[in-house]
Amino acid sequence: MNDMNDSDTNVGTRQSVVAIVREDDVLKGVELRKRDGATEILWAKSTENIDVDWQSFASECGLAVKSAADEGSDSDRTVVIGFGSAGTVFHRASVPPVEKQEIEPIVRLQAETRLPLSSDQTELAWRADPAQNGQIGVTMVVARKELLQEFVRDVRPLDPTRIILDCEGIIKAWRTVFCEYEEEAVIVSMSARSTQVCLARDGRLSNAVILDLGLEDLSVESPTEQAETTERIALDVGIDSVSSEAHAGQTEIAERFVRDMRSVMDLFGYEDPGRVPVLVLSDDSATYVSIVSSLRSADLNARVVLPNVRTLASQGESGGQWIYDYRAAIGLGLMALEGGAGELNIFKNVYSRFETKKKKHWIYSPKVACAIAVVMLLTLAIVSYAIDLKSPKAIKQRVEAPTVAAKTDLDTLVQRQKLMRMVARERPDILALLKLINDCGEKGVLLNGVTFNKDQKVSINGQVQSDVQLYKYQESLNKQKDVTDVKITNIGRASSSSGGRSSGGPPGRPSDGPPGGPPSGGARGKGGITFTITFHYKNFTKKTARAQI
Amino acid sequence: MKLSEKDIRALKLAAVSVVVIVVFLVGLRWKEHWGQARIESQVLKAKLNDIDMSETKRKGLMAIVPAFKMPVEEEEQGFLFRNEFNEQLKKAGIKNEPLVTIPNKRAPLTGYKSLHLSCKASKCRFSQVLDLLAKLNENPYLVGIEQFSLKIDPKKRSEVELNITVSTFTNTTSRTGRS
Repeated sequence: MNDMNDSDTNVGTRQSVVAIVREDDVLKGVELRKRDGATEILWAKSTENIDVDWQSFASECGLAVKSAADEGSDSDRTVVIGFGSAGTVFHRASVPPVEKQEIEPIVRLQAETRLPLSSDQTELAWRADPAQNGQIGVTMVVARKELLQEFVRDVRPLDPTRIILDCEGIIKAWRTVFCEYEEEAVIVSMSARSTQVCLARDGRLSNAVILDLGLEDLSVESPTEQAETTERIALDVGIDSVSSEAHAGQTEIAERFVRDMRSVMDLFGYEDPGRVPVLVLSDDSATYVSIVSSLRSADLNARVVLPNVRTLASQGESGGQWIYDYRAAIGLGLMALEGGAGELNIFKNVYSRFETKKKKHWIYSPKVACAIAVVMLLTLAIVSYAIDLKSPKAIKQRVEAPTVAAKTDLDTLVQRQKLMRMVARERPDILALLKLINDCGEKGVLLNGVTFNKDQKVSINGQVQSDVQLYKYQESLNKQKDVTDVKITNIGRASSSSGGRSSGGPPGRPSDGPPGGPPSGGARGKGGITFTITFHYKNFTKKTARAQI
Repeated sequence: MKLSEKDIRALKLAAVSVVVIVVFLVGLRWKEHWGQARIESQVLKAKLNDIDMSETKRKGLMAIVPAFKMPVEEEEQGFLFRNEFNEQLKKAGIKNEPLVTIPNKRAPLTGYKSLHLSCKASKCRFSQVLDLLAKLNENPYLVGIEQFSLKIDPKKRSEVELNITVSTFTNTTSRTGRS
């Protein structure tokens, strides 16, 4: 841990700002405050170990790290976090001069057409410039939502007030701490392994690009050191070309850097890159001079910009190198101290400081929901039990109440019902049977007797004038739905004095055959014909059917 | 004495175990009781289904059996049935020979026997027979007509000879009931 001013960090920290930013896997933090109109740096720290996470570093800086369950903020320091621009993409667009609320949908539409991801997977922030030549320039910054959410998860325990793009901090630091200000300039901020190239217009970030070449790639030793190194290698190896080869490699990287810078200038829309100043933020080391000279040789209007050490007071160590190292964190801290809005807030929908403090209604708590479910299940079981227990008694009481006088219980009622049904099955309607027998016989059919026995066929005997009349009678009986199996079992010649006499012989035509046509015998004498007809009446006369019932 | 985390955990586990055992024991009894209550409820519902019938069916049943009294023991039932049947014969104006009791032949329903009464009337009018048959269903002890025979005198066709055997149920169990 580099501790540039570790003394007395708890003194005079009222209303101060702590800004932390990650730069090439190194966390850098500063605490700033305003006193008597001047900005003062209370301390600055950075990690040596790249494995140190945000929470550990915050603890090292004396910040209160909160768990998710903690509520409220007891800290008297504002914390701002810088988000690396490496995960973001900047775009510039022009929209017609419309109302501010109308710009939003236009910008979103333009962003959707330029991005390979759907809008629900990305977060967009934009900022409109003042209208110029009938057009409004808009700076858009887009990042993957998942990346932002992951970052928020990491830094939420620090309870940051704001999360700001670190390139915004660079621009702010350039404007405030570094010497030269230009209305329109390209700011080059180099770190060990990457280079941030930001376009600033009217002192605001307008576009930004990250190059993967850094100081480690472009650094040059001092001429004396370079000569000594070359001589040593030459003596050891005995090859004269070492120096020239190293120089050739260095030149190649520098050329690549220059090419990248020209591409960036193209991307920023400058056909004549020499028109706009390229300000390389520097700590006054020789490397930057070399870089600037390379850029200048490529017709870029580049120059070195040094920090103004007098702009910031420090309780501890100070100097150009020191300010340069913490420029991004200082810029973020200055933004937070000024408190002004208007930065590109890409975390607008992803991070809210008070999100965890939002009290959810108790009904949404899983524990409460589980408890309610358990209580409801228990209630259901108890109610079902009570119903099963009480309903039979209630039914019995209700059923037995009107029959208390007769001392009848439910079982008796059931038995009575069964018996009544059985009686209904056992009780033939003899009156209906007599009516049926009578209705079927036409005039001239005289009945002498009717016999009904359960489980036996009904037998009727009587006297008719002719065979035709008899068969018609049989046919008529056969048509009755309650009558089946009608048979003439006996036909005889009737005596003049008696009801009939059995002939003993078979009937003149089949007894169960269909009636039709004149009988073979016609009228059998003056006294008529006696007959006996048998048939089944419903199920009363069918033994098998009754047995089944 | 301060309890360690391990002790507290063991105590919590023991407390939960005790609660589970108690709930299990009580729950088992409760479940058993509930099961019985459910069975009782189902039996009752089955009985109610036996009693319950649609209005149409009920009317049909009442048309066939307009009056019914629960059978009692054989001796009493025979007496009541004979009395009632005699009354109906008298009302119809049928002069009959003494009624003959025919002992039970079959048991159509468990717990009950069948008792038959045979009636013979050598001379009666056909209209009287119809009157008797029309009113016969009002006998609350009557089960059915087992045998019916009508012979018409060919010389005097208004007179008929009637043989009728009617039946009733008698209760063979000790329990009796009337309605």
